Amino acid sequence: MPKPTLELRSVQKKFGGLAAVDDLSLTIGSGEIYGLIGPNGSGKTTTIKMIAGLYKPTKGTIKVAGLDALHSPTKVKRLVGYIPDDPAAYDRLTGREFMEFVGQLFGMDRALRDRRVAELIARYGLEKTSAGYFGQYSRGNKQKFSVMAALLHQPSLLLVDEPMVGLDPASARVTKELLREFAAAGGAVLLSTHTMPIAQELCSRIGILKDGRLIEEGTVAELGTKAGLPGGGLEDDYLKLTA
Amino acid sequence: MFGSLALLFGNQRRIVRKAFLELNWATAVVAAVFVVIGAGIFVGAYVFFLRSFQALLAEPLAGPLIARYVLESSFSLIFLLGAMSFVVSSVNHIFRADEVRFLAAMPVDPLAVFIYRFSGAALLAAWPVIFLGLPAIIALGVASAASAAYYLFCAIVLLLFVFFIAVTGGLLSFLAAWLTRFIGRSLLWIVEAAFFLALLFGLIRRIIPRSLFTLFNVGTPEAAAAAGDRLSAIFRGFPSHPFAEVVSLVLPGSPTGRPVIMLVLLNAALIAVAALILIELGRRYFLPVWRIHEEGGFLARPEDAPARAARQPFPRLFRWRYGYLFEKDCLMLFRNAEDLSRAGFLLMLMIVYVLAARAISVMEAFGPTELYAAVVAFAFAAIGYFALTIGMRFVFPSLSLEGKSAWVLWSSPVHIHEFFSWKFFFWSAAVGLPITLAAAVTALLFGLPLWLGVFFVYAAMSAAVSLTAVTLGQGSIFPNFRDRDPDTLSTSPAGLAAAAIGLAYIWIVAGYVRRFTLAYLLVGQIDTLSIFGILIVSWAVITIYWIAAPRAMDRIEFPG
Repeated sequence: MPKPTLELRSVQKKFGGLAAVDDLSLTIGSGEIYGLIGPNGSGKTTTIKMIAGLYKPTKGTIKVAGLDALHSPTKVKRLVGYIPDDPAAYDRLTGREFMEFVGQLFGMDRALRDRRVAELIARYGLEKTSAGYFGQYSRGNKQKFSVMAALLHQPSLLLVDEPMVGLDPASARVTKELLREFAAAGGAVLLSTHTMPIAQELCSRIGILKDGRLIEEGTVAELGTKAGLPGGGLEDDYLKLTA
Repeated sequence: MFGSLALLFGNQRRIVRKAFLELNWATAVVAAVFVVIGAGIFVGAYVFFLRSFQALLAEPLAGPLIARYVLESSFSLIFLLGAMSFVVSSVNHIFRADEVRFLAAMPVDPLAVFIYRFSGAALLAAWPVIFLGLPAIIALGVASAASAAYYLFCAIVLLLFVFFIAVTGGLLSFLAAWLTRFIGRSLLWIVEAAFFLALLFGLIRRIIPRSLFTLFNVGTPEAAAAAGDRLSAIFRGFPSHPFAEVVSLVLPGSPTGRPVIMLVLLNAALIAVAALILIELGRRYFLPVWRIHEEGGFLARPEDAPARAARQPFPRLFRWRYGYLFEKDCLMLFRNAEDLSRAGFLLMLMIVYVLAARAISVMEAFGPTELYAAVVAFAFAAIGYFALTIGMRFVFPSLSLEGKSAWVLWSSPVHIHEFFSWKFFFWSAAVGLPITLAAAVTALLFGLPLWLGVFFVYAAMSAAVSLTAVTLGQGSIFPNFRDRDPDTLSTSPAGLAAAAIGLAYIWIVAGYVRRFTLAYLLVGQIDTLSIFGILIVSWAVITIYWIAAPRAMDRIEFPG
């Protein structure tokens, strides 16, 4: 059986006495888009930040492609692309410079980096915009550059925290296509969102977090059955299961 | 407008009151340390002025002349520093403050907002009056056994002077804003810096003439009177002259032929006219100028406005391994007009020091070897202090100012040690270059013998790198990714600790500089203990932070 791309085992994260994430276990395989939904403060962003190496778990193990994130953080980070909930970056770098800088951080070959930068910028049609300073961009354009920067080094696992905030419909469609293409090429995606239609449309499996714990997990259809609302929408299932 | 003003000042009063009532012990300690430091500077300046004035006034003919010269010089310097401070701080305090952004969308009279923010900027620009003018005036009064009337007049004069400085600064700020119609923001910073530098250079050339000593070489009352006229000629036309003149006239024993009250009233009337002009400018142009700053040369550009006409892939210059980290910090600094202006202000103060050093060397005032060694050590301490100031303002907050962008670095596979190393190399170069240059120029101006000059530059370079390690290390061990204001970041407990460690380092190395100078001048020996002492102290400081800071950074949990 192939190793899962992401494996979380009994992960806990405490801030002081408060467990933001508690006893969380989940696996995501290659080609899968896994949605993480839950009320505000349920631990979605904390979970993603632990996998991205921004938080250290209090307990438990996180493995990416079989590598322990605590013991081999640098190797793991090479395999991960991270799209934060707040796409803030260096105001005084241009969008293109920002992407090139990220490419350097991930040790990409310059020729490959430049080719990937050009390809991704073309996907969003941001050729002209990429020469302007990041600080001038709208929220949506910042979001697009953070999506591109995460995909730049062709990671194995993509961590996505609220991907569609501020995106216009055309850009949202491009982003969805990029995520699907990434998964189709063998990548794994962990996507946190409050937008139920996005989760329903994109995710092959969905986990519901509440108070830091995974209370349900399954396909949209399975969640509908568990909620006692088979054939209904994810939003109704979510409201029923988190009530 | 008055209703809006009452609301704004009332709200400010509530904020201050609440801050006092909810003061926690850490903030209280930091505040207390600042009060102690401020009081220390004030008392130090007072003692210096008191001893100087007491010694000077013991000389019946030349003494009062020199005291007047010191007073006029201090006032002219205070005026220039205060006006410069106002122009530099007004950008953030009046035109780019978050509070103004909020208030601009509210139905509040814009003139009230301008006056409210102007008052804050005026207080900020009053620091040279508080730390230089006030101790000088009190010391002069005590040394002259002045009456209560002297202090009363001086209090009025100083208040008027603070207001005059602020009004001048305000007018200059509007002038600068008007210039943005014709020249870009970056060029404007250069023009402002060049303008103040030229004023400073002109001021120092004028108030420190080569014939300064002969000016005070008076043997008869007639000669003293003639020297007094020559002194008046030096300062006549200076904006600060009417204020210094009032202080001189109310001193005991001064000629009372001139109606002092009339002079004060005339000053007040002139300031009132200038203030009315400023209020009219504020009424008409505050909002338009605020909009210019809000949009800015940087932010007003269209999203797709190119940063460069012809671009090359990043990194352009530093293409070695991890050179991109170095280049990123270079771009972030050199594309930040605000930081550059602050750096320019500090460099300008350093130039003041160098020019003053030149003046000292011209006067050939050095006496015995002991004094000479103390002066050289003091010159090193002054350069070290500048290195520390630059470090506290720019280097200490540099990691914290990664702010919400820090996720880019922390989620990347580059080891934390590399971030620290390259920040250290970058800031060592950025601090080290001007400091080394200043040390070399100082050594030349002082006419230090070759090996003493080489040692002096070596000590300054060591200080620049070591103080970079202290400030960067402290800022990296105790980062704060939430605050965006470098001044707030630098005045944290960790910042104060960095300042204390830096001052201790400067004190130790200044001791070695004094020791080396004495040994060289007295017995013509090169004191190897001083050379190795500096090397070991610097090595220890750098090594401690080189090890401790990356370890602490590795434990950081990015809160963004």
